Amino acid sequence: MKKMTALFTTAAMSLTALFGCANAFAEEGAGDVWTGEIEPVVVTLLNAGTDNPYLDQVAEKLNEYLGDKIGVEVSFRQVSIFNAASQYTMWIGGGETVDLLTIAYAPVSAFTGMNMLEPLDDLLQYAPHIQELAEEGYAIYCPSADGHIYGIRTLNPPVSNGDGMYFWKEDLEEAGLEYEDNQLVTLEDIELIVSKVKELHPDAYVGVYGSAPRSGFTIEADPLGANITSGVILGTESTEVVNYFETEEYQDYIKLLRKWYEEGLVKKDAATTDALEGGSMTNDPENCRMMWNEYNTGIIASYEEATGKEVVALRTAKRNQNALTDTDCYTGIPVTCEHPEAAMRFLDMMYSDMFVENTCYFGIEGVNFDYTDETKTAYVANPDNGFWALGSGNRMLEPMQGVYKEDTVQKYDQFAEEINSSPTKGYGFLYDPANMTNQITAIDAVLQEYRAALETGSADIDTVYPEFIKKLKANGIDDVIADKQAQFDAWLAEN
Amino acid sequence: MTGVRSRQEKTIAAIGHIIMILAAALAIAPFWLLVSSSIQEESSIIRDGYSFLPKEVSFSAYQYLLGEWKQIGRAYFVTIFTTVIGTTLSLFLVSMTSYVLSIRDLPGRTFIFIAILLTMLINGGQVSMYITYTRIVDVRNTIFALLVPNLLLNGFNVMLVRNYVTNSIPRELQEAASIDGAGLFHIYIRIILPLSKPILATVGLLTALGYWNDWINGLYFVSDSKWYSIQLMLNQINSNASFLASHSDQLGQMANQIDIPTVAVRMAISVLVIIPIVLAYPFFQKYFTGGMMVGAVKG
Amino acid sequence: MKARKKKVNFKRFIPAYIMLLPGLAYFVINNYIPMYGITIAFRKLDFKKGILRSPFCGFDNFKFLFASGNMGPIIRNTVLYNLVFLALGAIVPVAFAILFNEIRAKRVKKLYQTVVLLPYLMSMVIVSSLVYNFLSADMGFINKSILEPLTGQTVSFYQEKKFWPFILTFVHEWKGLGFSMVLYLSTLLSISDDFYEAAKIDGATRLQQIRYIMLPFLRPTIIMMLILGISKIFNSDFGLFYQVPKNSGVLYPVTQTIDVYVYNALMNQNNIMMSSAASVAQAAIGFTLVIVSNLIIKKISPDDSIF
Repeated sequence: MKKMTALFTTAAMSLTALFGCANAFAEEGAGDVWTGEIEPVVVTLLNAGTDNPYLDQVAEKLNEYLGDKIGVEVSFRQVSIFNAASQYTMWIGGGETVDLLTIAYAPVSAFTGMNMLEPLDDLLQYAPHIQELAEEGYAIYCPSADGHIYGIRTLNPPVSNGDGMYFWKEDLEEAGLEYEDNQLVTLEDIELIVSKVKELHPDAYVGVYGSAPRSGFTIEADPLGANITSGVILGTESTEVVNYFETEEYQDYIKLLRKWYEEGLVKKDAATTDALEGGSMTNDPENCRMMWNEYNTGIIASYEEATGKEVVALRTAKRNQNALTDTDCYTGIPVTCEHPEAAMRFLDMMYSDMFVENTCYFGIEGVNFDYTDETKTAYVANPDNGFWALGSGNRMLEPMQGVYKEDTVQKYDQFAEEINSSPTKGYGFLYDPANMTNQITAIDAVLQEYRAALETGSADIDTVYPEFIKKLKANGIDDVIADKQAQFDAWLAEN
Repeated sequence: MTGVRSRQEKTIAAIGHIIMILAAALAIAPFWLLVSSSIQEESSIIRDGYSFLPKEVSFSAYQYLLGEWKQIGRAYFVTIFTTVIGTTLSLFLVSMTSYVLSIRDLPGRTFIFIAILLTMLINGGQVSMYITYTRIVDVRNTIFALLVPNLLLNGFNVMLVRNYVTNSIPRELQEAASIDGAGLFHIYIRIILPLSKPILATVGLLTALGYWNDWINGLYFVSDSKWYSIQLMLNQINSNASFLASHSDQLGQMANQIDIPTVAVRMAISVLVIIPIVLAYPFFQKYFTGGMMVGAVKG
Repeated sequence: MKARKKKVNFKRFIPAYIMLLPGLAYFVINNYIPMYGITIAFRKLDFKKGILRSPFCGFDNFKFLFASGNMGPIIRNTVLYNLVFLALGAIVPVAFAILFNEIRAKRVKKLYQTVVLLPYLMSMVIVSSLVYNFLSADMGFINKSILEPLTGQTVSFYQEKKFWPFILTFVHEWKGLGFSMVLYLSTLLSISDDFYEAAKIDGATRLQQIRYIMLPFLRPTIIMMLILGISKIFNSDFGLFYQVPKNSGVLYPVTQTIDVYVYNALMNQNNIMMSSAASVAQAAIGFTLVIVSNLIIKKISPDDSIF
């Protein structure tokens, strides 16, 4: 559970600027006193199925701070992430007042299609810090077909977005392999290491499961602000939208997994289970000796803490700077919002004010969590009164969980630099799938049928893979890719 | 059923025993496995597989739940409370409605009955249901939120009870009472209710299970987690755990902040959900007794 | 008929209508008012205008149901499983109820009844875990404790289509048996002992009593359950077909039903117009089938029709 959440101290380039700006705001904010009316704002918070008992106290704490700053009295409404989209539909359909919706893993089109969200274009004037971030080059606006902005994305620190394969350090040493943590490796390297580990430990297996297909961890693909279903561009030079599932990289991945499956390196039930049921490096460290996961110093620390073994995580794909996917977190203003201006002022605080952002997601300092050092770069949650919500806002303002470490900062720097220096050709472009809804719906159903089995090696490639591609085509994947290419070309011509 | 039983009767009863023993074994084995996997050490499950007699026993799942006892105890109370009140109300409504609809020459009875049957075939969906119970009749955050929407009365139960009253309660009884000057409500209380015990026990069981297993109403209409039922807790934990497991790469560090309950904990909660019904079930069985018509007609 | 109707003394029925009032009020609020939600299937929803003012768009929302080139097997699965479940539902629980009714030992009877109801009490999510506990290739009881020690080989159940029509049918029967048995039992319990005594005097054996007394009493309930089943022939128990096979894609040719397809297709979309279209289509077919089957029954045996 000791995770590092975010790190902002020594961020490269623009991040330093951002931090500076947050501080500046805090200073000038202290002088400002809000003289207008205080308006109520209802904010949704996502949880993971267990309600937070501290909501009212947290809202109270925030209101003490916010009242004379931006004239907002905030109250929270929590909803579990699994039910969020359907609950929102009912609330908005029922005309209930909600001012800020936090949305996760549902595309903007799912809400704009039914006119549930207000366009934010005219409201952005109340959010100077959000505008600043956008001008600095962060892709934080969610646009849509009609050219309006409907949501503000959660700004995640790039450190959370690496793709890694985790190994036990003892295994690499035993096999006489020299790899350094955070090193970028190829699929061949991985194949070699895994076979060596298997020689040493015949019962070893790779923790890969159908619940979370991992092919994306080895392929440098940019889905252009939508799902990989509708096609991707590869690498940083290409402008050609291709079928992700037909790429050579994808075929290499499923061939390797098939080989592993036949050698007993993948669990027989892998296609239909998840790491909790099937076994992971934390709940079965003796046999699950390697696993794909995000490259994330926090995850590494949690593995080490749970097992007492040292981890080496190798990065299996270069992460380019792309427009993220359409299924990330974002915040929007629904049509039933009563005080859109106040809502926007509050949202702006979540992108600029460390106190507001941290109180929303970690609770009250001294009750729910404590900072571990004076610079507030790290925190520990109170084990008895932990408070957390699934976040939106500017997460780069948040402290890291656990204890501050010098080398994580270095890794973060390195990673941020790498990402910032390699934008894809599609950076800034977001595909709008509105015209292709029926095809994408049918394709989603095909993916459900084949992906888990192919990407865990559980299905025979010679017969099943061609069938998969054939079915994708029968359900119109080529039309969707052509549509994406056309929109992308138009955007390229403009920019 | 007095007197000596024939050989054939004995044979049929013997076959009955054999079949029921088989069915009972098939029913109890998975339940046993459910209990044993809730106390099996997690690493032992992954290594040795599931088994009826776990080699390494661990009560950590129950200890974890014991730590949450305040919340679970409250959820138990909410569930039991709504089940008892809801089932009582429902039985009253369903029997009264069904009885009236069984009165042979009641004008408009066929029309009303078909209108009720129609509700089994079509429904307006969740969104309009939600809007009705928040805008037209606001049940949010009241006890009615857990009792009323969708659970109180349904076409199926009305049909069952009405058919029973029509087919199995002798009309002469009602007519005799009517001639004696008894009103409809009096006949309902004195004759219909006591004589429909078997079907009311069936419908009551169905309704009680409906209340016991319901989590939708709590999810939609109750925002204070103090009023969460045990099923809502179980459901929230289960559905979110699998959602998080399949979105873990997108959630990234957020998912790692979250304590996803282990399989054993999920199993333990479902054991806790089932046990009370098993204990309460004999109470229903009291009403599954036949052969009372004779006495009723004669008396 | 008309002449009789005029004679009806409405005053006599006033108490009856009063007694009917609470129940009817409930159906109006709980079922009839929300029925306007059906129109969502035919609208292009616009929450700014509200549901009732959103424009109609004909059958646009239904199109996705036909967008897939593989609806054939999906419809076949849905209908076939339902037919099998209907046939078994008319035989198995009835047989169990009759046999159970013949057992005289009271305590044992109570025990049996409680135990066979156990599966009915578990949610499908839990049933799915239990089935997995038995069938898992890596950890399952059947593979780890039976097949591996005996044959040295394991079976990957979740990758083998051929087992699943049987597994799903078994799980369905196993889960529902306890309750449907109780349903038929309540009818058996209502049969007066007089009938049996009279039959005995006429020299009827127990088997004959079953044939000529019990079955006729059970018939209305059996037919009612059949008609209800027919109305749901294009629906399926989502938990059974989605959770129990653990949404294994390889098994789709024998496990995917309409509800599972709709869920898989719409899970990322939050599109209530499309999901509402799917359920309207299912209900429309079910509705037609009920009317037709009720008409047929009315022709064959008028007493058994449900309306």
